[in-house]
Amino acid sequence: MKRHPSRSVLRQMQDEPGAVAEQERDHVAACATCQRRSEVMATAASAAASVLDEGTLDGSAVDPLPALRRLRSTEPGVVAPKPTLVDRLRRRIEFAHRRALRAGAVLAVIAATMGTLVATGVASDIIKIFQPETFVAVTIDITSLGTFPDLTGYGSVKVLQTPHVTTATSLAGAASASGLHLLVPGKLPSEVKGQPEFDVMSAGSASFTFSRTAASGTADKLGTTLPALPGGLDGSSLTLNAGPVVVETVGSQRSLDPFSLPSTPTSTSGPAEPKGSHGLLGGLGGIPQLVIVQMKAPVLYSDGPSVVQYEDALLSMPGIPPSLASQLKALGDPSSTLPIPIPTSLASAHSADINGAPGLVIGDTTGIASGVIWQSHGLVFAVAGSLTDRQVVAIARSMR
Amino acid sequence: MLDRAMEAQIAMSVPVSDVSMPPSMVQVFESLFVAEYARVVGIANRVLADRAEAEDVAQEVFLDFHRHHSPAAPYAPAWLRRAAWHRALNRVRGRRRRERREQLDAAGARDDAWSSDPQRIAERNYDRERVRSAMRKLPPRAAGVLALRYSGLSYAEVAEAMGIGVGQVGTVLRRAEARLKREVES
Repeated sequence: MKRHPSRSVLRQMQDEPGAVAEQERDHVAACATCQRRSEVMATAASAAASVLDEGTLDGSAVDPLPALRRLRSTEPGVVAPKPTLVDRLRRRIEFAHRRALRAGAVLAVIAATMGTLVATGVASDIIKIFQPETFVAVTIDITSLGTFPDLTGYGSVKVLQTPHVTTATSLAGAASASGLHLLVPGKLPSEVKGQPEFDVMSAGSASFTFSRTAASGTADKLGTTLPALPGGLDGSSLTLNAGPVVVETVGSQRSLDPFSLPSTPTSTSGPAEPKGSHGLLGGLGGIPQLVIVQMKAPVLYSDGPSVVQYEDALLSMPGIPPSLASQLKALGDPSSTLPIPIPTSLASAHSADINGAPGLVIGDTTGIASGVIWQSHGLVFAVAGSLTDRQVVAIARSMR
Repeated sequence: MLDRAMEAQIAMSVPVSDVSMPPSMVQVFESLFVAEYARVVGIANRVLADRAEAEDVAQEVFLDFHRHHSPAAPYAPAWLRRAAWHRALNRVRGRRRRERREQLDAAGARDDAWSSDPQRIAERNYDRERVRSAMRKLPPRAAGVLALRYSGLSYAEVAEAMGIGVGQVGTVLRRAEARLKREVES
């Protein structure tokens, strides 16, 4: 074997020689260059081990049982209580939530995909469905969305509680209006200038009822046939409770209207901006310098079909791009993951740690536009703007 | 941020019971706790060089996991290990907390078997600060790979906890060790 193994392989060979191919081990045994490289690595490893040795746990073994007792005293839910009738009922509902959340992940992609259309100005009326734990990018070829139907192609959408948007000019005002304990970013990049302004959306609720008739009509329009549906899906409903939401805007482009909802300015100063004309980020050329979103994590409820039934049925619906369906099926834990559609030709995504919480960063180093979204303790946060990906992550991490 | 967020949750009256688990899941959680606790403490201790503080970090990590994740989630061990590294690193980077703790140490206020010997206290504080200082200076990814690997995780486990490929672990580890060596020698 003439080619030298990579330095990564050389390093692993020192710790896990069995994990390295025999061919490469033989090469190293006979190669002076590789042996020199290995020695340099071993020296650095030895120095590191010497420094880190203080972090070795001392002689007494770590006993998890006292620690578990300590945790139980902090968190009563860790102890298995005798469930009351009310408890059992509540848990059944919670289990239904979890099943629904998985289905919600599927629906969320559909809704969020249309959110992409909002950002590009194609659609204007959409319900966004969020998922409260982690966020994962799924790539979408936007050219495949030309015939992608909205939710009304599969059933009916009904607003149960209409959220209202008010404006505020101070953090305290926004906190008071929303009931949220709002976090504040640390030092902002020098290019972000201006006084922050706040949009506050009250809690809202909407339901989606699946309809075989509507789905068949969509299939006909797309020139396909409706796949077999599981029993109970036709007529079943998903209900989403969302909000309150606070959107803080810093910079010249003020008119952020993330939910395309009516704006009803109240006691705060200044007139309301025109609504609905700028899409999610204000439209091209209208990206604010900085936007910070803080919201209570939404919850999605189901009144019937199981998660598996929803997932299988929805992913087999006509109009769902096969590549999107396969990405969704490959998600590790749809019950706790919100897929975010990323148009392959417009943006890229990667993960980042936000003070211990996994965040999804969308954007790049150009500074044209970037954003990061993460969840912590039942709240969903997002930071976005005409900044680089590093800048939005730094702002996110500075929020206290 | 996490503390504020937790306060925010409380302020919003979101009861912990909203995310409590049924009895069977409690058992799954406790099994996970027993299986992973020592590992989580070990990772945190690699960063903190302080057993008591590492156990505090482990409590926070498991509490956070319990409140927001299913104990049956396939990513549970990787999540816990990653969180242990992050939270421990956040602690060594929190200057006020560190200074307060060092003051307590200096005053001999901690319940520590070494506390009866001032010279040993000084030596131990020096060694502890050497580890913490090194971890502070390193990029988070470098500090993480060292904490994970030197607490005994395999390359595959390190890769899973860091969200990188197994083939990248050697590279990240090698660079972190070289960087640490430079930091110590400078």
